[in-house]
Amino acid sequence: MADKTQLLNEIYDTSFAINDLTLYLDTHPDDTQALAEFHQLKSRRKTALSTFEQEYYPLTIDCLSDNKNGWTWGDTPAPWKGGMTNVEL
Amino acid sequence: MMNNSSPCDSQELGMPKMPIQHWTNIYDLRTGLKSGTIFPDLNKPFHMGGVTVGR
Repeated sequence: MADKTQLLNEIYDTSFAINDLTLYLDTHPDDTQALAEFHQLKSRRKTALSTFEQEYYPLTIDCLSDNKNGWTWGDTPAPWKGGMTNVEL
Repeated sequence: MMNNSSPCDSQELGMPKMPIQHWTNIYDLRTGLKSGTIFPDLNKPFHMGGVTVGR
């Protein structure tokens, strides 16, 4: 099982980098290196979000997988119960 | 009494010119998040209250 903190850090790190790359690409839309980096990070972030959903709970409504386990959104701890306290997605 | 004048009022208009950013190797992602930018070129020291922060 992947470490929860490590996974969250991966999500924080890739999310921030994608945000910063977005600003760069706004002014450099034809930069192929930046575009390649963007897509690589986007995929890394997606994987981390999906792994987190499978091993812990979905962080956003988009993270809900199409599994047949019923409604799992309620598994997410409420902020006042320690869940998602500092997730900035 | 509100004072609406600013030190800029007495200054001439300017025409800013700056170079465009070029792609460089970006920081590892952890450093990027901690620095507030993934671009080493944009990681400038900021002076706040006489103390340098960042970097």
